[in-house]
Amino acid sequence: MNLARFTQIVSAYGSKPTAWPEAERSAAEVFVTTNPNAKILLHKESLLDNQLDGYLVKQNNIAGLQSSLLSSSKSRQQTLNTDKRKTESTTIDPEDAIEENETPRFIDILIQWVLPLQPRFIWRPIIAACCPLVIGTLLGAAIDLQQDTEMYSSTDSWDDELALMFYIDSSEMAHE
Amino acid sequence: MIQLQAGSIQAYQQLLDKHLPLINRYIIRMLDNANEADDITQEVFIRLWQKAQRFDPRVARLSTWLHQIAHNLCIDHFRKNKIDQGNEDSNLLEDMPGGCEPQTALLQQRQHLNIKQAMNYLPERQRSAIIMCHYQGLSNKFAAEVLEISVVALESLLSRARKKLRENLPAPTE
Repeated sequence: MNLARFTQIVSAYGSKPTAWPEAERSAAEVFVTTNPNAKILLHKESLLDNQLDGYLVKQNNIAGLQSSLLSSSKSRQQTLNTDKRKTESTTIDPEDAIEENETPRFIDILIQWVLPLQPRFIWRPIIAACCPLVIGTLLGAAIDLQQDTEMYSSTDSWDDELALMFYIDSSEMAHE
Repeated sequence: MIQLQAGSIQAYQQLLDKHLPLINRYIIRMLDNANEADDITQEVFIRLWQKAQRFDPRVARLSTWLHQIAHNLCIDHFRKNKIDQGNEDSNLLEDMPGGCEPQTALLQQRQHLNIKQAMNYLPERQRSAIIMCHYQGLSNKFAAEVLEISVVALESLLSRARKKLRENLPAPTE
């Protein structure tokens, strides 16, 4: 240990030997007792340490925080177990399934399927998001086809109307 | 930790008992706001529950991993809220000891505010280093691992932090 290294240690870790690097602690402690400059340095740093020690913090209710974390993890665990059970229950006899209340069950299954907890099922929300796009495209194509058909039929009626007008005009001319 | 990876609530509870107070204290000192610190602490331990599978004991110790998550969340919080300095939160002040003279209490309070302000003027990494080494009593290797720097770089970070603190604090009375 020399003064340069001791200066580095106390300027970084402060005056408390417990904060000094373990490997150099005992050597530094011995150095302080033999070197007067080291003592001065240590005193200077201890003044800052005393000031820093005056900064106390009050923790909120740790027990409350812990219990809320535990309850949320328990509920997540339950959801996970329900999901697992539902995945397993796909082999259940369909008649047994009908006996249960179908509407909420279907919604639950759908939500759990679309929003799985495990990241490996990330493809599910992607597929769910793509569904409206596919349905929209199909609907759009169907509506276009319908409009085309309507256009054809309206053109036919225009043709008929023009032919009728021409017929009326020519019959009037014949009368004259 | 292996039990937690298997989804054991008891293991989670044990880890909460052991690590929650320390992590919460670290975050409170980082954010200078006890209520926001609780939210971030919750987030840290939710991540512990959700991402336990990703933890590899060969790479880091659990406490290092938790401090790393807490540190990164604090940095995210600073960036998101752009509050780095001068946050006023009277909750942080530890209750003054009973029977304290009003003058002494006032002096202590002023001293506390000075340090709080000086801490808030520190850049995030310097603040984190001081909190871990001075207040949390963690080893230099541990702090260096959390900040993902070498011990030498940590020493330089700490020296700069202490220098800045000294500059921003009123001269101490002997």
